[in-house]
Amino acid sequence: MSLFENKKYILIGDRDGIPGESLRAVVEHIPGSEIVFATTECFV
Amino acid sequence: MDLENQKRIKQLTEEYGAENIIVVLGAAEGELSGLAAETVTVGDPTYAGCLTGVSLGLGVYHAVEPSFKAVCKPDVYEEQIGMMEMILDVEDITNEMTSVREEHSKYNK
Amino acid sequence: MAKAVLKAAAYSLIHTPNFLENLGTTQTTTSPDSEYIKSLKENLRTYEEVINYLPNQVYIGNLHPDTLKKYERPFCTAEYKAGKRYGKFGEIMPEDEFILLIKYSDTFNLVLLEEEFLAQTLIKYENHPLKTDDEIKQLTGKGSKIADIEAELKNDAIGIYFDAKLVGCVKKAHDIDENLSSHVMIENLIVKASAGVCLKHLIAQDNVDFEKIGYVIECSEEACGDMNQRGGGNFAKAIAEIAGLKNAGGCDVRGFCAAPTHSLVHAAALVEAGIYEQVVVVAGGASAKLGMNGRDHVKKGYPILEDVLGTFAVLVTKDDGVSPVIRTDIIGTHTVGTGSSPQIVTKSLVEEPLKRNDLHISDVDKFSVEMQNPDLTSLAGAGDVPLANYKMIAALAVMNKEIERNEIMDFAEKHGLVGWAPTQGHIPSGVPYCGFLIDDLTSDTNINRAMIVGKGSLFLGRMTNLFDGISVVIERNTGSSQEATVSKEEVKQLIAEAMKEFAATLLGK
Repeated sequence: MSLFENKKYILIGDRDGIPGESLRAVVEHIPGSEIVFATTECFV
Repeated sequence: MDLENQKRIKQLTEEYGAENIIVVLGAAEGELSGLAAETVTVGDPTYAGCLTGVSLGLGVYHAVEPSFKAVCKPDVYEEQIGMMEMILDVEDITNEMTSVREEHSKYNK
Repeated sequence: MAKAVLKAAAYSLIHTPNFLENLGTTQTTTSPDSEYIKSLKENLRTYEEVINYLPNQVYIGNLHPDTLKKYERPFCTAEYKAGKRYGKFGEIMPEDEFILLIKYSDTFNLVLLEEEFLAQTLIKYENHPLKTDDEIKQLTGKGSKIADIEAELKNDAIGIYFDAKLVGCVKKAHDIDENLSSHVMIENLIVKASAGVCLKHLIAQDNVDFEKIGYVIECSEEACGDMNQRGGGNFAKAIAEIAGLKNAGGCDVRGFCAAPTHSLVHAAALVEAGIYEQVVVVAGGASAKLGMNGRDHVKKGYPILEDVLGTFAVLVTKDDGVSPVIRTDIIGTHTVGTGSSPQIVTKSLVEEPLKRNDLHISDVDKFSVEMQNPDLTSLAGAGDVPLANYKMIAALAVMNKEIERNEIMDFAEKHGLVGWAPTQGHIPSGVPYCGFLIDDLTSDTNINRAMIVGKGSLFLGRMTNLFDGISVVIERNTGSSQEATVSKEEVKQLIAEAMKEFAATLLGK
């Protein structure tokens, strides 16, 4: 089993990189993943 | 890292246990990725937030790292991250993340 | 239906090191005992340094953005001494004169300025080419005793400082309403006063007749109102009033950093529909964002570079046959259902509207995206934002097989610009190029089509996780305006009708 499976996920996206919602969309498909927090930071 | 986000990460780690948590970053550059990774492992290097001096030791990855990409569904990954993968300096980000992880992550590495 | 054109644009900066210290959220939320705050003053730039900072000279129109390509980064290390206070788009105003204009913008007796400071600064301000008799009249002799200002500070007023010395204050506007607290009032007065500076520069331009301006849209990121209507508004009319636009109505448009481009589209629509012949889009500066990444600038050994408020004003009018045409039929919209992945956002804003009009991505000669000065973000580890945007657009062109993958950087260089705008949220987003765009599209260049792209981070308001964005194409005016074509047809029709009538009368006879 991959270390990425069955974990709680904290997603820190970046407005000018990869936003939190995009991270959410891919992490959702990791078996047993649970997203406990997803956000997007903004430096501008 | 945003102060409010640091607070949330600290609370969630207390709630779920550091060994059960993985942090995924989407930062635009290696340097910023490294700073965020340090924040959730060895503590906030900018001494601004509540994670200053707090070593959570969390497993932390950037979304463009090959090891993370490998566990994602390829079509979804392509649609959501494909373009940024083409644009970001994947090598620099991966090097930065690997070095922080090797040195400071206690779990999930 | 008349076409709408981009007729004029003005840009001004205001150097505000004292407001940076007292209002910038990075500074106000950092411990006073931290090294950053303790050494803050020695890391602030002088007015001369701010004038001689290349991106600032680009902002007010003294240098074309392409000039920046010739200099090494960060630009703050450049040996450039030819900076001027005034440029063809506006000026870089010093803080003391701006403080006067904050008082002038105050209609509720909330701003007190120390009498000596006011008198001395007024002497200086009398040399300003755009000073008005009303400003001088309203300010002369309106100073306060320092003891009165100090007393107000004990009653929740917020201090105004110049050269680190207390020179005034803004009082709270209500005893219990936090929406009218001294902090909110000073932020809002700064928006009003700074936008006023820029609007005055716009209407001072030769081809602008302020009496014809019928509507003003304000698009900054602040909110004014009281506890019963926190974002009630209307900055637009308050700003139009101090700039003397007596014939204008107006209202505020909000949408985070994307608001200026939304407003540009609104303005074009109002003009095309024939509701108003001339509409101004204006925004004041964001004092909260001063010094936002200052800690990182200092850590890298540079001064705090986010030390200016940014303002802009653009004028949209009905077709004059010369000014660049706003193509309201080529607008990209980030919709609720679009999604937030960078490629989907870029597709919706860039590819979709072009495809719909049988155009390729490379048919757009210049893209004006988020034009943040890369010094400000790169030194904070957040990269070169305009360049990242250009790479995304180029990557789309690769996906569409318009260019090869190894041509991404060439595409970015050819269709892009080096950023020069301060990180003031709405200020760098899409609109900074409007001034140069008017020049580039009305002079002998090979730039005939540009696209303005605004993006906004709606999730910061905690109301939705949605991203936002809107884009619009602006083209060189071919002179054969739709209006002219229509009237020619109308003339033909009128002649035909007259002939028919004439024939009918003859037959009748």
